[in-house]
Amino acid sequence: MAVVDVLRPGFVQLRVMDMAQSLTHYRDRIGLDVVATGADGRVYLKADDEFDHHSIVLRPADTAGMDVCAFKVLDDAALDRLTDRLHAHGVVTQAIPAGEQLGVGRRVRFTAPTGHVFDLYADIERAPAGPMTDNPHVWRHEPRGMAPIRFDHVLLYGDDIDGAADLFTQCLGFRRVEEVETPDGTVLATFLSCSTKSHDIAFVRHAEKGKFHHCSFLLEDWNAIGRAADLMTRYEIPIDIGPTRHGISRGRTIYFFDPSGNRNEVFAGSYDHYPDHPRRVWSADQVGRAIFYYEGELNDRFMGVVT
Amino acid sequence: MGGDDGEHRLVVETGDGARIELVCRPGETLLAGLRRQGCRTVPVGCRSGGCGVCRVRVIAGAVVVARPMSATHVSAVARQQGHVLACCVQPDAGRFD
Ligand code: FES
Ligand SMILES: [Fe+2]
Repeated sequence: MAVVDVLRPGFVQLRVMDMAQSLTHYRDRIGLDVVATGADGRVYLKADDEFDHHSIVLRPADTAGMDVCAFKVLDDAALDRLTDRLHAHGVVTQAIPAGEQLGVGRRVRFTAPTGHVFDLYADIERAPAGPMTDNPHVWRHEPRGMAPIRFDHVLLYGDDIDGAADLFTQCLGFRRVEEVETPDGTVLATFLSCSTKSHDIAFVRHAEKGKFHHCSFLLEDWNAIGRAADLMTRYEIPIDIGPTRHGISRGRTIYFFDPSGNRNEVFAGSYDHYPDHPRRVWSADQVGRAIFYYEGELNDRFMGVVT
Repeated sequence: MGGDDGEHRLVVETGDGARIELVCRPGETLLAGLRRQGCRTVPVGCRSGGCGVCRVRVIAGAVVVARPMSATHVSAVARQQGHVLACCVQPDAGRFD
């Protein structure tokens, strides 16, 4: 939907099992900047073209997966409005105090029907060296690695994706942009937008709750995707699939894995969404093309490999 | 040098209960060894110890853990019983079995 109260996915906190290797991956290979390291060992990173303090948080742990995905909202009044709507929908919320993450103000936390934890927040410090604003150059320092522009979205696996889509559309102003449906109307995958992006979050139906499929970084174009593939090959980063294209969103893509097995995506060139656009639907028998447009079929890993 | 020149004989049990004998090269992960020998019953997932799809049980032969294995998929108890993530372990170069 045209941006109203929820602006965008602001940050995601991932569990990693080896911080040194994870920093080589996220900082040197993908090319994020390390902004800060917390006393508890969490490392905060951001992409080059992001103004806010951080968009990726790595937490040392003995498992992989996602702790929380957080959405930035317009202002404090919007945060209150959204909280009221969650309560009216019967959703229990929890207050996360300012400062729990470096640079981030108060957050409102809830668990979606798929078991995933989400936060909403309005306040976050600006990054010390964000994009230029006065006679701005295209970048302050030339980008490294895969030259990520921003953290773009997450795709999550869980059981009650109908409940999650209802919550995001009815309480948070998201729209169903593109979905995969069986003949009886069961939604297998739903791509939801709170902006003019093709998706700000997506859910795929899966037996287990709370699983993480990937977090995605926006790159400039198809050439940048190709260069990212060169880097993955040069540095032996495990590639899941790609470079290829999604039918859904039309995005050019590579899926690959971080050193803890969390899937990452580099992504470029999907369409714009406006609130007057009709929902786009793929039938379940075309799911292969919906996900991997050129291959026309899912690889073995798409459904089963999650953290 | 030493034991690191040789190949290492291992027996693993896969998720479906089948036992597979394999010869692993030094520095090669168990998963890479299985694939090289044509095994297709142990899935290749993240190759990074996070997703758990490559879990097997080592029945014979010694392995060392070369990278962290997610505790979601291999608990300390399971590890003692020989369960490992095949993408995270390599033959133990210091031992002959
Ligand atoms: S392939 Fe994912 S844990 Fe081994
Ligand atoms: Fe994606």
